[in-house]
Amino acid sequence: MKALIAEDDPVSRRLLQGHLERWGHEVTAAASGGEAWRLFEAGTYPLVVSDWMMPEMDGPELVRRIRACPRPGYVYVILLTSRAEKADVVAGMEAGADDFVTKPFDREELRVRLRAGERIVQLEHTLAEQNQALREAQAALVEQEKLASLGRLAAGVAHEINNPIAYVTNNLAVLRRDMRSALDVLDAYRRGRDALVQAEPALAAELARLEAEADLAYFEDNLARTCDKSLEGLQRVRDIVSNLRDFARLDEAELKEVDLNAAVASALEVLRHEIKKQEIRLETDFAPLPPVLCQAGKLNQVFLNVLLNAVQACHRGGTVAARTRSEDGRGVVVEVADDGCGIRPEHLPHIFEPFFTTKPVGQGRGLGLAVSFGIVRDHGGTIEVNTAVGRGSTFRVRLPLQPPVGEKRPA
Amino acid sequence: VLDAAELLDRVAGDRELLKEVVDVFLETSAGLLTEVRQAVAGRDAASVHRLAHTVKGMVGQLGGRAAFGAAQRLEVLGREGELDQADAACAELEGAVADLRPALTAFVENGDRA
Repeated sequence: MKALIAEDDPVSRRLLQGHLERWGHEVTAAASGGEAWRLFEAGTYPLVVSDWMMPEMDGPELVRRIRACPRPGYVYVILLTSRAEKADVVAGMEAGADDFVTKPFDREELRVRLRAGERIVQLEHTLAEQNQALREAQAALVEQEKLASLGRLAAGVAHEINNPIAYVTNNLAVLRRDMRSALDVLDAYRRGRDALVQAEPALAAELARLEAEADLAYFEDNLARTCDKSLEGLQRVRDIVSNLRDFARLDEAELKEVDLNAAVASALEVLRHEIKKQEIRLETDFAPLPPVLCQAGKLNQVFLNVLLNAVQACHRGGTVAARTRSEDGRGVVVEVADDGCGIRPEHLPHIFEPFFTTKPVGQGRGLGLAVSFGIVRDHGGTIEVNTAVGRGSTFRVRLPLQPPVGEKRPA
Repeated sequence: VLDAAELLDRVAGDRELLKEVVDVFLETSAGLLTEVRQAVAGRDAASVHRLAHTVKGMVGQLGGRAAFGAAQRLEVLGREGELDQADAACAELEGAVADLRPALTAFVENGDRA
């Protein structure tokens, strides 16, 4: 285990180093608290053995800094002290030390106390791993449940909307035709207008007034265009419903061959409104792709998550680029680049962790990338990111043409 | 002057480590004692306390019983700020360390007999 020694007395330092190395530890020795702190910040040391009394930064101060430093994994700290009084023990423990060894230190005592520390570090490590696995499983379950209910909702909505859309579309065509006929009849009446003025001047005046009031000329000129626009709108509604249904193909857990260009295009279609609202400039560069054997619905979810993140990372009027390319028969690459805010270095190690989010509480659940990561991994692919704060991020999803066969079947 | 059994136990019987540690002591102790002497002469109680503590830790690990006692007395004087008797304690410490050096050298060279 990697151990850090902080000891200003060179004799004790050399002895400590000798013993710890003999016990199988990888030892780094510092001659002062300050040096130890710099080493600690730059490295990873699950075990720290520190003298109490050192010039400038003493042992308790070093422990306080170590405890205040957010690090994955527990750091077990033993203070070496010639002060064995109760008040000092309390002060050292308050500072965050785990144990004490009195100086001059007894070799065997130090060995067993270090062993106890090692056990605690290992237990913590195992616990953290299990915790992470549990969180991933929970995230996958939550996401699965969310997608399942979204799928049911989408299927229900699609069914309910399709029916009225069909008869509204039909009726609109009928109305258009009948209106045309009605206008023809009106035209025929108009040809008798001069005779009507002679015979029934009051009625003719009334008709002229009504015609002006209804703006009949405008109506006649625009009837065709109004109908076309309405049919276009109805077509859009049909497309949205169809996309929603395609997108939420969640019951289809089986593998099928899919053109990922169509999948990315479908995800972009879902985000069309968001892209427009943010005035995002969209660049697409789709290369012809070989079919990929995959769970289409799940990959749609991946592309949606990555594209949505790109759109949300952008400032108003930013640019999002979606590119695809084939990797000579081995797989395909889908790349999503934005010129938005980028990812801060301290966030980068966590972006694929479940429930990690930088969005305000309530606005993001921190599941999108975690779930995407799991889905891509289950397909035998990888998802990676290049990012620069203030310049934007590029997410790259690599997928093999077929998922790996055998024990790790996508679930 | 030197508790040989204790010293050998502290290095777990590893004579190579013993030689290294004794070398470190021989190289650094003179400089450290000079600093102690200067702190005592300058009546700098805090430095006397700190430096004597370091010397105490050093000789304590090497089985230097007499030197450990002398360093401890000087450390207490520094901590309490009672430097009237520090000159004598410092001289005592220097004497003890002066005795300890050849004893350690002999122990490293001649084996178990100091």
